[in-house]
Amino acid sequence: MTTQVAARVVKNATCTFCGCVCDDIDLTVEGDRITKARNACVLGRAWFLDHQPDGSRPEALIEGVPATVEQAIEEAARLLGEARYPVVYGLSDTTVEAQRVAVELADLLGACLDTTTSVCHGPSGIAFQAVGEATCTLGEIKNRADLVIFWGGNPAESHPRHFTKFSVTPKGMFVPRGRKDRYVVVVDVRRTPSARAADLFIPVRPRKDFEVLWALRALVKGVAIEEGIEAETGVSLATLTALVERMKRARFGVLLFGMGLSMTRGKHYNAAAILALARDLNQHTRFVAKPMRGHGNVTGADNVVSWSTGYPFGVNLGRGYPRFNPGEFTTVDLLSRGEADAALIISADPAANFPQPAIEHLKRIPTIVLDPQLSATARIARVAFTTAVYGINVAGTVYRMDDVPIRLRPALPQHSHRPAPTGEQSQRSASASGSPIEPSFGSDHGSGSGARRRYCFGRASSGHRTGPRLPNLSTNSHGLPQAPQSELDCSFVEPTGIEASARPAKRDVLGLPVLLLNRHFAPVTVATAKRAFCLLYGGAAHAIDHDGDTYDFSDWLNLPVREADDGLPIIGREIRVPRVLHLLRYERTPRAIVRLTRKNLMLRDQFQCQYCSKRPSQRDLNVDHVMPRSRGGQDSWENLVVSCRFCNLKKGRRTPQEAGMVLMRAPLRPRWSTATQILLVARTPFEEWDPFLKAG
Amino acid sequence: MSEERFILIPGRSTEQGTSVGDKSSSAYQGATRTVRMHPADMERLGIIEGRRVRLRSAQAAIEVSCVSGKDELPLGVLFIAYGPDSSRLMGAETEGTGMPESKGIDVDVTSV
Repeated sequence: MTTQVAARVVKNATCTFCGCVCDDIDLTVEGDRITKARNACVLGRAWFLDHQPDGSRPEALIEGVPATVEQAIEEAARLLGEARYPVVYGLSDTTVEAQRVAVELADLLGACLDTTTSVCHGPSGIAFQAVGEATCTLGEIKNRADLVIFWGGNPAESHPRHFTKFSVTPKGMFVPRGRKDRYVVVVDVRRTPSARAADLFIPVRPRKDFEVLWALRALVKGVAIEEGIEAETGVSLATLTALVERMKRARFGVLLFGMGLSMTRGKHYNAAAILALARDLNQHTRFVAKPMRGHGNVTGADNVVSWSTGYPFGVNLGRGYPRFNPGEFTTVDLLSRGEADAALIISADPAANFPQPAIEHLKRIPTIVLDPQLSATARIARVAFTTAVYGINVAGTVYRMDDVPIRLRPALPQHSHRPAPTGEQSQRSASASGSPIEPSFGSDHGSGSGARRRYCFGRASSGHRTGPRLPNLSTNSHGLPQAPQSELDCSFVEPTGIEASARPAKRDVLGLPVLLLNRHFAPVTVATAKRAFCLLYGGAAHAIDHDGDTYDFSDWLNLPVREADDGLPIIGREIRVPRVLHLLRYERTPRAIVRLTRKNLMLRDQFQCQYCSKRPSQRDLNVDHVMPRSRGGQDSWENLVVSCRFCNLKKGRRTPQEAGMVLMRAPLRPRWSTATQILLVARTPFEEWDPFLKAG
Repeated sequence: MSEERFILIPGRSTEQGTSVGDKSSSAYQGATRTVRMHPADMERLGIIEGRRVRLRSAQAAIEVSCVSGKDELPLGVLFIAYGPDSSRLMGAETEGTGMPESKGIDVDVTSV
C-alpha cells in the first residue's frame, strides 16, 4: 500500500541561479522534494530540481573524514587563527546576510577579501571606478528601452528569461507594443542563439571589441573614421555609422555587456570603452550601460563588500584599514604567486575554474570550504562544511543584477534532512571559536557593535539610500521631505499654475497647468495650456492621454471631451485640454534651478531650526543670515538658514562661532530635479501626471 | 598531422548550465568536453564530427571531442563550454586586474 503525499505550492519563490533573480517561480513541493518549478527557465528548473540537499553528505568533513560541525569549526578556526596571510573568497552564491558575516570574519582575521567578481565582471568594476556608470534598473529597461544592444554576452543561454522579462519582448509603459517597439542588436564574435533573436547581428573579430567601441565613440562625437576599420575589426564603416545614427535616434538606449568584454584581452579597457560610449551618447539621448551579472548574488557580494570596506573586491584588511588593489589582493594572483597561506572558500569552486598554478597552490595550503555540494574545491579542502542551499532551504536577501534587493522564499525547511548549517552560521561559529580577538557579533544580521565596525565608507546604491528621514515630515519617492499640505498653499516653482488645481468656479482653461516631458519622458517643467496648444499645433510635441497613448494635433482634435476633462471652446465644439505633453525634440534635461525663496529655504531645512533642531510652528521660524548682513553677509543659499526666533535673537549680529552655536549641516543650494520640485509643491492636480512624476 | 593555431572562446552553454548541479554527471562532462569548430575548418583539417582533438595552449593541453559549430563560429575560432578542462588552458597572468585571460585563448589544434 502506498501513501499519497500531499503536494503544496510555494508561490513566488525566488530563483538564485543567475543574476535575473526571478521572483515569480511557483514551486510544487511533494513531501520534502521540489518536483515542479513553474515559470522557471531551463536553467532555473535544473537549479531547483538538482540542487536540493538529499541528506547523503555528512555535515562536515575533516581531511575527507566525516566529522561533526563542532569538530569542523574547531579545526577551521585553528587553521585560520594560525594563518598569517589568509584569503576569504567566493560569496556570490550565498545570501547578503552570510556575506556580511564573511566580511566581519575577514576583518577579524586581517585577511584578503575577494569575491568571484574578480573572475567575472571585476574588470568592469575597475572601469566603473574610472568612468562612472550611466545606469538604470531592469524595470526601466522594460518600460522605456526602445533600443537594446547586447555586447559580448549570450543571455539566451546564460540569462534565458532576460529577453522575456526585461529587455526584448515585454510590453512596457513607453513601449506598449513590446517587441515591435524595440530594436535589438547583438554584437559578438559568435553568432550565438541570442543573435537569432536580434534585428541586427554585428560580428566582430575576436579581441577587437575595444577598437569597435572606440570607433563608435568617435562617430558619436562627429570624428571621421577611415574605411580601414573594416579590415581591422571586421565591421564596416557603413554598419558603424548606421548604428550610431540609430543610437542617437533612440529615446532610451541600453548597452548590456557580458564577459565577452571583461574576460577578453583589454578587459577593463573594453568595459571602460562601453561605459564611456554610453556616457557620450547622453549628450544626444538617454543611454545606459550595464553589465550582465552571472551568479545569483554576485551583485550582493559587490554591494556588501563595497558598503563595508569602500571597495567591491580584492580588498586587503591586514593593516586594520581596507586597501584595494586588483592584481595584488585578488585570489587568482594570491594563489598563483604562492602568497596565501590559508583559504576560506564560501560557495565557490576555484579548483574547477581557476588557472592551474592557482589550483596547485590551493592544494598545498589549508583550505576551508562552505558549500552545499561536494565540489572539486571541497574535495581538496582540509575542512569542508555542507551548507544549506540559499533560496531552496534557507531564507535571506539577494541582489538582482541591477542592484535591487530581493527576499528569498525558501520552499523547504532548513532542517528538512539534517541540520545543515547556513553559510552564515558556520562562519559565525568559526570566528567565535578560535579567533585571536574576542568576537562580539551583536545582532542576527551581522551588524557588529559600533567599535567593531571600523569601515562605513558606504556606496550610493539603490535600496540603501541614507537620506534624512525625519519624524515630523513624510518623505516622497526621492527621499526628500514632503511638507505638510498646509505649508504648501502657494506656488514656488516656476513656471507653474499648479495652484489652479483648487478649481475656481469659472476656470481659465488656457491657464491650466500641463506637464511637459522630454524625449525620454522625464518631466521638464509645467507650462500653461495655452503654451501646450502652441507646441501641439506646431508639431513640437504630442499629447498623452490618460491611457498613455500619444496623439498629434489632428488626432487630438478628434478626441471627445469627457466629464473629467476640461474643454477649450472653439466654433461649434470643444477641444480636450491635454494634461501631459511629450516634447519631440527636447533632448537634454538641465537640472532645474531652485529659486531662493523663504518657502524653498523652509523645505531645504525641513522646517527645522538649524541651530537647536527644534520644529516650532512656521510662524515662529525665521530666516537667519549666518554671516550677518550688517557684516557683509549676502542673500544666498550658502548664507541663509532656517532658525527659530529664540536662536535668531540669541545669535544676534554674531557669527555662529562667536555665538558658540553650531549649525546642524552646512547650508547648500538644493539640487532637486524638476519632478521632485513639482512633487514637493503639492498634490499633483491631475492623476495623468502621477506615473511620470513618480518615475522621475 | 601538423598543428594549426585557433582562438578558443570558452563560454556558457545551456547544456553546461543545466548540468552544473552535478559536475561528475555524464551530461556535464559531455558538455564541457566538447569543442565546436567551423565546418570548413573541420573539413580542411580532416576532422570528422565527434572525433577527438588535442587543444594545446601555452599552459596545458587537453583532449576533447570536436563537433561542427554550423553557422555559429567564424573561421579560426573555437567554442567550448566553461569547465575544468577549459580552465586548464588559461594562464595565471592577470595583468594587474585579478582576471586571467579567460576568453580568446590561443590554442594549437591537432587531431588525435
